[in-house]
Amino acid sequence: MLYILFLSSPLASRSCGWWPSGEDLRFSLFSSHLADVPDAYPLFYSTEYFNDYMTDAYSGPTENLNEWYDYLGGNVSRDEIDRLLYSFPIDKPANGIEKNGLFNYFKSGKKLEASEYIIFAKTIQDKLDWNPWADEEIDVKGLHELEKFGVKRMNQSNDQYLKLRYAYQLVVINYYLNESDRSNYYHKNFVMTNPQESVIKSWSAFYQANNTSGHINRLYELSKIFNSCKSKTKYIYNAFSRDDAEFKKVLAICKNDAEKAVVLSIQSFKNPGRALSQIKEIVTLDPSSELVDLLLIREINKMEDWYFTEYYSTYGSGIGQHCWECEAFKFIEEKNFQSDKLYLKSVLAYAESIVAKEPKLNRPIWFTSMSYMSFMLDDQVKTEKYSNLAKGNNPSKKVAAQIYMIELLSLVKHEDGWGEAFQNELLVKLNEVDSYKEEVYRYDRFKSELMLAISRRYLEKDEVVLAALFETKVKNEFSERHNYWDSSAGYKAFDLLNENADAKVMDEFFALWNKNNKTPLEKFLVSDLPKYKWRLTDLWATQYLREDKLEKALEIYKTIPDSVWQVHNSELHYYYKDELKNDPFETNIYGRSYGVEADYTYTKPEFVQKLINLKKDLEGDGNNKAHSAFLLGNAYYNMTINGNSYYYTEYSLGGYRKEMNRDQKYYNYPHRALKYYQLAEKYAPNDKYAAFSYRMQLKCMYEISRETLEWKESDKKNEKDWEAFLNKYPDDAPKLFGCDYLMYYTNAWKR
Amino acid sequence: MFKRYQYLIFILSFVSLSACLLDCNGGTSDERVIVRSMYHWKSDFSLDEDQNRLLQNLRVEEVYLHLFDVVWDGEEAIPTTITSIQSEPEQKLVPVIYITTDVFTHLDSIGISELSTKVSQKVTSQMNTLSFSEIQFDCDWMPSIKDKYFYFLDEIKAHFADQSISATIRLYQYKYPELAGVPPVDKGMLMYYNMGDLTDEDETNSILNNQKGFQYLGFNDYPLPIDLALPNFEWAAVFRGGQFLKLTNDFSEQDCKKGNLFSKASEYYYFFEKDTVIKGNYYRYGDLIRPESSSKEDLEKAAGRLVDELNQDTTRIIFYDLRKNTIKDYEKLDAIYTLFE
Repeated sequence: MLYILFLSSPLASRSCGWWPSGEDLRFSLFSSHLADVPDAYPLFYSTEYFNDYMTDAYSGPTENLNEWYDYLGGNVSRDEIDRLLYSFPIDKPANGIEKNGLFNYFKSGKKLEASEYIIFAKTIQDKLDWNPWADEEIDVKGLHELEKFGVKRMNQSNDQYLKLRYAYQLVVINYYLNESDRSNYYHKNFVMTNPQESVIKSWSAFYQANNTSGHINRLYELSKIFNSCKSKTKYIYNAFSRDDAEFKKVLAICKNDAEKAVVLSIQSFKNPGRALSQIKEIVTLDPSSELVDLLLIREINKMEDWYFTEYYSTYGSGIGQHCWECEAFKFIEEKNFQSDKLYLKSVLAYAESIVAKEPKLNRPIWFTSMSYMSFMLDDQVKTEKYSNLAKGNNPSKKVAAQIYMIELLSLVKHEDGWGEAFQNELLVKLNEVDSYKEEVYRYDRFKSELMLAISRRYLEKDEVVLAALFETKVKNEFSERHNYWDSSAGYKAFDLLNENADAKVMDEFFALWNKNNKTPLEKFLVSDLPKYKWRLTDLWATQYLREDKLEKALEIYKTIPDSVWQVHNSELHYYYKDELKNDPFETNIYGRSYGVEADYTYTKPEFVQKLINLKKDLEGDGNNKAHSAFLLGNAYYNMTINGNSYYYTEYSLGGYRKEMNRDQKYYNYPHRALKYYQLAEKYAPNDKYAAFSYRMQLKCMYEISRETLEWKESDKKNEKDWEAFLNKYPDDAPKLFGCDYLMYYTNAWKR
Repeated sequence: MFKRYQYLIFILSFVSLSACLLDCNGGTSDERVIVRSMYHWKSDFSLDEDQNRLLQNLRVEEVYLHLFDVVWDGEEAIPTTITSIQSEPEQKLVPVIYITTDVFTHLDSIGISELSTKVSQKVTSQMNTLSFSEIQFDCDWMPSIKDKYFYFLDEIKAHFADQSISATIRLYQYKYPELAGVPPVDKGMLMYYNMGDLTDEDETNSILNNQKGFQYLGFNDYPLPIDLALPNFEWAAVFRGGQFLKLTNDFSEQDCKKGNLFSKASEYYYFFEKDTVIKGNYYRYGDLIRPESSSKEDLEKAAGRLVDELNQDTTRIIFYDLRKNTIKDYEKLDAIYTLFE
């Protein structure tokens, strides 16, 4: 049953069990906590059932922590208050309580009455901790005793702040004792009559709402607290079902537009799809509602997920599913993308029209949202226009930080050149990003996504070197460039180059890296590269090998210390010694053969040197030209996907992702091998060796036709090719169908 | 020398004896007693008028009532999805406890012994004044936790001396008792459903697929008396880009035929023609949905074959599960019960 629940869970991010998934890959550059309502975080758009980003950072509701902070005159930090109030259970205070600031504040003799209240509240919490196996789930007797104590202290205290809290605890005790009348008595006569303005009154009202008889009435009462008390939003959200009829019934008993707006907001928070029509309705009912801001931000986060995540991660939206068989479903993806774009435009158009008409809207948030949506739509003019309007409307620190990020993204997106002035401006802005750390939602992830966005901007413009360099700044594991071995920035850059760079680009990459007069931005960009030097140098040389430019490849390989090729651990992220263990000159008749481990292991430069030597043999007048050509055929064949030594040019087996840009023909098809087997036949000293060379040509031709022709056509061609082989070498062809005579024919060149 | 009539008597006696011998293996329809039963798996056991009438009309004698799950919360085994019992039906109640496998992965023998005490206390406390003569445990055990689960069942017996203990048996456990082990209980409940791979795009009906199901039948005389559980529910599997995306409960082919949200894509699939939200999940244009259910025809085929598996005189035939809308299935359920009788 749990399995089924998991599979059917709303917002369960993905069915696939492997990483990355969910929040690991959901792309978002628009800050979810822009509205600065921290206790509403469960309602932020997230791949988690409830967003839980605050869970590790704090455990108590900000609404209450702020009140305690003020009550203590700012003498103790919110974190310290949080830890003492919410992290240390009364029965077993964790190690470290003696270091807690609030504990020591009390210990020094200050606000002792408050310390007594905290012990009282924690004791109640302990008594309410239910034992799911027990008959009596809470300590009824203990709670009755605590009630007596609480009444006494409430009456004795002259501190209204504490009187209110004692009264609230009496409400809570009686709620759990199912004494609803007594709970209501304390609420009405002691909580609500307290002169203090406090979230505690909403919390107390929350318990009264829960005691309301009748399901719809209860939901209605709870909805009235939803906006005034964000720390209870998750509970209230859960109290409502997804049933439209239920919402209609609650709406029917709402007494004014503001109440209706809240109920509609709860319904909208439950909507994982497009919610613009609901937002419009809510704005009409109550434009000043804070919930509207949260819903607008949520809507933008949704659109980012639909619009950006697949593009940046190639793993599909965080909430959703990637299309693994993309070609077959491409038209669907494209149609949905265009549909999302239209929706994005409609949200922007609505925001533009309503902001002009409705003065009660939170203008800094709406203008910032409009600026970001314009950025998403590549509209530079509107991006700037709205960010300026946001800046002119007294934005909060969080909004200012978002505006800054939008401007940075826009700067990169719309800049054509890479001149020094632009570089300097960009560097200054990048350096300033950290100063907004406290203001940006999930900053570390955000910064990586920002760098990834910049990297992709350059990749789009085919500026692979800059794309790779910015990729080195993607510090977390976000992006598609993770792999089994390592997800560090250097390897992400390596993968990007591996997939996109030709030898010329690699030259440019190293030219920039090695140049003496780097600009400050260039220095910043290459600063993480040194520890990946040999890995990247190997890639540089290998790119020349892929392009069959052997001399240049050898020249670069020779700069790499020999010790690198002996590595057989993960130190260099590549088990060179192990991966290069096969004999690349082995004759490979059937499919991919890993052969027997070779007696002699080549390093990459040794292998390339031998290729060069064999090619030189072909240019000369020696007697072994056929054999040299045959060995070259073997080597080039073994470097293909079906060969035994593809690790000479590749870093993983198999194809790459759909966006692989560089030419991989040499790897997918044995054209190069075919050419040398043809030469081997031409130079063969006897029919036996010529037939053997022809046999290897057949293998190459078959693989080429399998890749390039429809399979039936390929089979027909293969049949004809075998007929031609039989006609040309009638004595040898039957013997060369299999491997039985392999050794005999292998040595035929010597005869 | 036989006279003709003596010869005839001999032949008739032989035929009668042979018929008796043959019938004694499976029991004749006349001898077999079928106890019509129903699972209730919702967390609120408050039967409405329709449900009570349905149970009466179907002559259901026993309701297997899911009481709670036992799950591992990271630190300890706890009861969850605890059913609140609001009804006292005419039918006998059989409490059912579902236990996730990771509970046994984490517990040692002492922990298991303690768990058996806690479970028994919880069952007794929840059933309160309601009497019960059987208690059932549902756990998809595998060889790695077999010994622990069976130890738990052994321990639980001590707490329920007056009750019989039954355990659910999955099809692969039924087919391979040597490999899977046989739980130390009084009888088993063979679950003849959820037999396919829900997440496989090539699957046609993971709830009830007789082609697959029959592969698990007819291999042995299972060493426990066996009752039979059959499906009566529906759901739909949604696929995106060739990959399983989500399961939507209580969603039928009829729902796919309503309005213009779907078009027929193939024999088993419907195509989402537009973006939409269903039961809190957002689906996109191009998604494919495969509604699955247990049709009367498939259940009839299943019953025809499962009759041969019955190995006791009195067998419970139970449907999973009793819901608000089960009343619409009266005719189907009655027909299937009848096939066993």
